[in-house]
Amino acid sequence: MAKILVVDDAAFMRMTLKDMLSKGGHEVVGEAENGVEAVEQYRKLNPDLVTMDITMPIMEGIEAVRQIKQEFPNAKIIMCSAMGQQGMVVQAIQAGARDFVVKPFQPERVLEAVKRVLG
Amino acid sequence: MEEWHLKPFQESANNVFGMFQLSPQIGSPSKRETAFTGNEILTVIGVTGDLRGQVYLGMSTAAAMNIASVMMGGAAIAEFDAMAQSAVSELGNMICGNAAIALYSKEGLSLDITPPTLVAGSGMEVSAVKMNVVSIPIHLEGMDGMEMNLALEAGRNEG
Repeated sequence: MAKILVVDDAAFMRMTLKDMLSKGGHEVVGEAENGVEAVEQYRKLNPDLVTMDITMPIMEGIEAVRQIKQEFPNAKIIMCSAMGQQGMVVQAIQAGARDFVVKPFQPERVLEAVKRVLG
Repeated sequence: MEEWHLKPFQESANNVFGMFQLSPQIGSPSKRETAFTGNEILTVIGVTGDLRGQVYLGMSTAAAMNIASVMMGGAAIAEFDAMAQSAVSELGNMICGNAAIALYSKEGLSLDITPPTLVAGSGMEVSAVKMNVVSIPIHLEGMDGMEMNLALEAGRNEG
């Protein structure tokens, strides 16, 4: 069981991810709806893993990954975004994300990614 | 906006609705010379990059509630509340995001999208002044018809 921070600007996506992750035996310890909140919540909660959206207001997800990784080089982050074209994936991985799941996603795919990144 | 720009949006809408088991039928695109109706619930996604403009997804409140309910795993929805609004907005996001993936992998076009905006009302008329607008009808089994309107033009970077 991992402590997970869910970052997405859409309340619906946060609810969906929370549901998928708790059914998979994980605990969602915090939620954030933009990149700035994500960095703040990471500092506060020190989660085992983060799911990170890309398209968000105020600060988008790839920049948030950069900032979190700069402060916490061991942070484990999985991108969960509707924008999954090659360029975005490469940028996210370069920023330090460990995996990339494209919306709309299947629960199995999300849990598989979480398992792999934690393992 | 060319025909090959449209296909990825049609296919993406088909895939996204399909993933939620909503049995979509995507109609043929037609050019619009006049304002289009926003119906009652209109989600707007901004597109930037090699194509720029907006993508509009318009539907009745009844259809929006129906779709939101399905997206939430069949939970009953009494009103079109914040969570239902978020679900329907996200639908527009997913359709555009998946179309962007296809446009990049098949055509090498690089697009980005903005967070969605949702407009609710009745008798809405939308005019995308100076833009070519293309309408794509979408029919979901057992629901009122929906319409996706694309107002896109080539961005600065397209050679």
